Amino acid sequence: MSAQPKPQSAHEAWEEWFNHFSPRLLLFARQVTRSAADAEDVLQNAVVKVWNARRKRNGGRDPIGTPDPAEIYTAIRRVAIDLGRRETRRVKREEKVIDFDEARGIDYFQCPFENRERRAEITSALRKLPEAQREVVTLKIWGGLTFQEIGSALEISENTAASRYRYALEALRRSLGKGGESHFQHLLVL
Amino acid sequence: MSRSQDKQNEAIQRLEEELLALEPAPVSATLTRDVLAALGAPQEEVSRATVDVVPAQPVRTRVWSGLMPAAAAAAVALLAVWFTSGGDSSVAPEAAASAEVSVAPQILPNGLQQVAFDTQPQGFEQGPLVRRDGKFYRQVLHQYEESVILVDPHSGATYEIRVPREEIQLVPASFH
Repeated sequence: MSAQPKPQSAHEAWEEWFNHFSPRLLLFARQVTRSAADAEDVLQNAVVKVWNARRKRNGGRDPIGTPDPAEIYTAIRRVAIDLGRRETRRVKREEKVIDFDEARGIDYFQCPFENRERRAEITSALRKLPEAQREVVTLKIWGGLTFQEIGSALEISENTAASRYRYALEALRRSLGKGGESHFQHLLVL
Repeated sequence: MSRSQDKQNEAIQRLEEELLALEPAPVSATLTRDVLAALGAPQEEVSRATVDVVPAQPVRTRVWSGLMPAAAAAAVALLAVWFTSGGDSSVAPEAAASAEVSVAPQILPNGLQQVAFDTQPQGFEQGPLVRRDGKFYRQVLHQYEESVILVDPHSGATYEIRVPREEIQLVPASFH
């Protein structure tokens, strides 16, 4: 008689889900926060928030299933908004932090070294987009969401999501067409 | 649709494809471990997460990777010293020791130079300030390149070994 495979626990299922989706979730979190450190805090709090909400719905037992895309992205956004409200006094300082992130070459993407310059240009161009457009581009391109799902996650209409995406791509094209700028080039000059 | 609109759409499509080809950077093992711990995962899953997930590339590694040519130059210089001094990796330890004694006086230090190329405030990830002896200090990272110049008095050949270095200095913080 063959042994039955052990059913996956909720923690194992969430770990698998987190390992698979965390790079794109963190990328989105970085679009709605001012520093890499804040983005990590926001992502962690959002995952815990969704876990607790699902646990509550399941009568206090471990949650069934893993988060839906709209559910987790909405949670990330709300936690980021809460963080922003709580820490308005830190805004000036955080603006400096994001400059450091840029200067130190903290990047959104992994990429072969030969594309490093281009990747830096794209990261820089993305940073220059308005937050509303950055959110949509990130969810569409790297989150793989439909405009309907994006609308649901960001609490906007599907048409608004689609038009923001179009504006964002046009802005990126213009920005990258100009050749962009390598924000960490100066670091590598000896 | 006009020709210019076609061109614009093509350009946007190309850009979309280029963006799709970029993979978001992985999250750090620390973050994964913290998230699992926050969910109350059993300890063995939390500790497994620290080894299973590929950590994000540290910032300093990325910065220093730009200095790889300097490190390579240092390696080449060391090899050059080794070959010109008649070094042979196959010699017995005793012979190698005697070779070192005879080689050492041939290559003499002839200069030391430190060139700073970047200074940046640190510590926003762990907190802007550190406390020592009841006082607050800012952390400032200094990155510089150290060059050691060696000369072979017999042949007149010079060798330069360049090493990238960094150090964090604590600067007293003022609140006035």
